Amino acid sequence: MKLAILLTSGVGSQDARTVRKLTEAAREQGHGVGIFFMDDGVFLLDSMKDLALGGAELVACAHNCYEWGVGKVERPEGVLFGGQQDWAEMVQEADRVIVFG
Amino acid sequence: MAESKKRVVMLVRRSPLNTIMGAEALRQSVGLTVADLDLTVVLLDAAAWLAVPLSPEVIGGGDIKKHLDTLPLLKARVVVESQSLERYGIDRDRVRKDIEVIDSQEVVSEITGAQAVIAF
Repeated sequence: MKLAILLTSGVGSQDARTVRKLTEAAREQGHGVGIFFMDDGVFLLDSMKDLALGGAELVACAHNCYEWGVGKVERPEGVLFGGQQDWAEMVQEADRVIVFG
Repeated sequence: MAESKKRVVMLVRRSPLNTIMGAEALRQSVGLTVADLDLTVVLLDAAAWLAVPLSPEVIGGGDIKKHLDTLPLLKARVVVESQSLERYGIDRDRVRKDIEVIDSQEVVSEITGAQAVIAF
């Protein structure tokens, strides 16, 4: 099964912890996970980039990153700076869409 | 037989003036039209204010008009819940002509008929 997760919550939110645990559990069970970081969610990129090593697909809204200076100096490894079309593709291909924000 | 498009409901709940999230939901809605999806944008609760002419950009908020002008051109349907309009005292005559007013039962039908609901 493929999960598409939209994360718009910011630093300090329980959502970040929930998405992390959910992603780790889903990957352990062999499910595909794509996470799209948008709005305040882009501030979580650095702390969640390790999920890419576990096989999750991480995409950040480049528009929000540019607006708020996230990743200007160094782009977190394993994270694609993309756009809404990437999220649209994730939604289209996903079996389940989950929103945290 | 051709496979039908995935039905997606974008459920927008935020006001256009207190947060940029209402405008961001509309930006995402425009983005969703690039995929082969059957998209309906539902304006609910404080997002009912998105259905009337306002200019949040003058106070540094996100642009909503551009997105609302674009969505019908991209074959996305935009609706507003009548009960939300009533709750906020918004006259139906003020609602943009390209936004359909539906009641809460129809909102439920939209949600139950969708394969994905994105609550923003």
